[in-house]
Amino acid sequence: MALTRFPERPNRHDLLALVLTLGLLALFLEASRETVGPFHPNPISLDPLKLPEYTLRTAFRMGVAFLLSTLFTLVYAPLAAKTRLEPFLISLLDILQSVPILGFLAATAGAFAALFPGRALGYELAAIFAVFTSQAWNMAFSFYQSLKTLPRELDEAATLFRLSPWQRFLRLELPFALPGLVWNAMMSMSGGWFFVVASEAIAVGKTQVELPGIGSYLATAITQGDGRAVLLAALSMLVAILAYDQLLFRPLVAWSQRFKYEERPGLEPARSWVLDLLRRTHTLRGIAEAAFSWALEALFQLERRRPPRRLILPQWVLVLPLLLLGGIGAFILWRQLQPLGWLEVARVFLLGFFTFLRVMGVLLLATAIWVPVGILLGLRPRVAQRVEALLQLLAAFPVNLLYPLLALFLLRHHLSLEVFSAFLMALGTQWYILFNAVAGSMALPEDLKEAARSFGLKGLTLWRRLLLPGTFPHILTGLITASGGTWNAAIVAEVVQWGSLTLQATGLGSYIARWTLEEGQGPHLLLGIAVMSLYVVVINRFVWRRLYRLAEERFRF
Amino acid sequence: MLLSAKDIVKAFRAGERAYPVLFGVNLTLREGEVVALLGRSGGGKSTLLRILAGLILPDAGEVRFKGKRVEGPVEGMAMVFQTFALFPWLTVQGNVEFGLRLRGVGPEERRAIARRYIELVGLVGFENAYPKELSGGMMQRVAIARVLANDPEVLLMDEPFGALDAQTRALMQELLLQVWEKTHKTILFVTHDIDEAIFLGDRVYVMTARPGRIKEEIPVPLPRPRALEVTTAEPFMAIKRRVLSLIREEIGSAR
Repeated sequence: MALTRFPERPNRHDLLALVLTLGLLALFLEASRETVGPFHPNPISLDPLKLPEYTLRTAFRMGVAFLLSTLFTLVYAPLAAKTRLEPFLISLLDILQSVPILGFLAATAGAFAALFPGRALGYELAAIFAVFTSQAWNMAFSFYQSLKTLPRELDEAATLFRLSPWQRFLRLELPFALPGLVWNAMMSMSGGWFFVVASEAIAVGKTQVELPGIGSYLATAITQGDGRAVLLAALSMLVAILAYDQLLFRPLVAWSQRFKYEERPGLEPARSWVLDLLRRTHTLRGIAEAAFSWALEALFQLERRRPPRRLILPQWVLVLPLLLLGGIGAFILWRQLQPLGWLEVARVFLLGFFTFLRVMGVLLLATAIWVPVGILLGLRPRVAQRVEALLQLLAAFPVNLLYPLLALFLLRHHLSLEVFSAFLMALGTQWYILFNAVAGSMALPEDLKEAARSFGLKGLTLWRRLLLPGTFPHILTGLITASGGTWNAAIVAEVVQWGSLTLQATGLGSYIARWTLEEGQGPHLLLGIAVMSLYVVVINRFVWRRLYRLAEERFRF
Repeated sequence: MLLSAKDIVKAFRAGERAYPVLFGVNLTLREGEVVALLGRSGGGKSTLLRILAGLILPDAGEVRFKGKRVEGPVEGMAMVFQTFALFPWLTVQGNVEFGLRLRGVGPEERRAIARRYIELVGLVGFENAYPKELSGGMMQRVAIARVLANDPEVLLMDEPFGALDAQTRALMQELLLQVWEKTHKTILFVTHDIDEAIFLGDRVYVMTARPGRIKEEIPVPLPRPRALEVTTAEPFMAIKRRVLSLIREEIGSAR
């Protein structure tokens, strides 16, 4: 589902997108060179009474980023689905998804700070931007996918009603895509906590930036070795995640159920006490409905008055500036990388290979453990539904908060980070494999299971003949998501600190982390990010997507 | 002549090869008629219906609606789908009001019109239900009310009762006839069910498959209003025998 529309072999659009992305990256780095004046915010206080405020601030950053991601999604996906730029925009999305955001953090912080010298606003924006980049691509892609898979008969019914483009979007496509969009937004949001925490306490070259928030509170607690504060921070994080879940996403998911075109029988519909409460309040509900329908009518009135002309932009209007931008970017890229020499490039590729081994190894291990567990869980849908909520909480919890504690553990037991950084990397991403195994197992057709039973399939044969092949496409989806996240996590997991002690593993992640710390921008960092993106893209194209196509062809019901 | 198709040709391409779906199809629809398009699955009936509706364009030939050439969706033609194609996020009322809303009909009038058609298809009391909460037969009633509320001149129905069980289907056929008695809408419907075609239609077009062509047009001179009992009487049987022999010929030649 998620990947069938991606081209398998790189084409010229990929090339264009790659050049453009790297170019933009380089532009950003260039801009951040102008990073100005020292920035002296209030130091983070470990007073527990300050924690609620910090929590709110972190939650606020998440909220703003989420709104921006939603806006971006609502604009980008229709453009991708309905214009001739489709192949390019989709390739661009694909590449953007593969850029390790964390490596980019210091550079964006520098660039944004340069826009607002001496003020926190720039760093705030950088933090928000980091979360945005962790959510937006995924959400946009899900929405695009929904727009492209509108059932034919609904599409035809709408065509015969002769909907105008606006009406079509608001009355048909948006409602149809809502359940998927909401679900994806929830998942993206849970991934975002990781980035907000990481972006609150960063070093840009020589400047140490600390934005008031849980992430920086924790970082401070760790440098001071205050265990109680660490625990408190983790608890506040849980509270914030739970609040978002209960107050925003549960109600949204429950509400969006009614937009579902096809329903899976046998599952309890999602419930939300907040939504139930809102539904019971007549006034609020009445006001909301009236406002909503008024807004819709107003929009349509406007359109009736001014019938839209078909928007036909000549392609060069969009392509020319893009090419120009890409060209400039490529030039800067070349100029920055030139002094490094081929030896350094080769070395970075080798470092990337080490990280590659860690990512693949730990993913294999996680698959071996979580797939059987997930399948077994999925066979008991009632239990699975209950466990799922807990798992979502676990998946949302930013494990990078825990890295320092784990570093302490490794130090105490004289364990090498060279091996164990792999575990740190997969700590947060393993859940995707479990999630998808559960979903795949729950999606196994009931009659197929009955048929297997009537043939007397049992034990190993049952797993080999039905359960594993039947869930294969889902497991792959999980692996792909997990793989992307694991690469990203490498940047923070290959170097860990506790107090003044630093552990480092050989790999591309630590390379990026080191140059972020030392330079904050510059050719080494750029090279590191570019190579990592390349690894992710190539593995996506040549491993995951091939497997995925096989899965779609052979193992879909 | 309300709607006519002349020498319609349509092929679908898969890679290099082209598969002919329709070849030289001619048909006409007069005002107030109920006409059945009878043929086997995969015979191009649905494609023909979509060409008539202006949803897809033919490779050759032309469709005329009220004398004007059809080159895209036109006002006055509506379609009922086998899978109902209701909007799951709207209530029964919301679905029936859908077309009126788009045309900017005011809320009072909208409600009144919707009420009339909900009554006509026998769904009073279900106005606030969502499609998911309804049975297949009820969903198709909503779909019928939805298109009727838009007051179309031609109703195109694509295997409208194909997804329903036999008993519900019989009830729905009677319901459609009742609706027709009250509205006298022109109806063209696609079916693979011989009994359904004869029971509902004033005429039956028998189609051959691959490529789809009209093999013969059979008039059904059974008096209206009709009730299910007609289907067991001799005149009905005579027509059915004729259709069956046509189909037997067709299957014979396909071998």
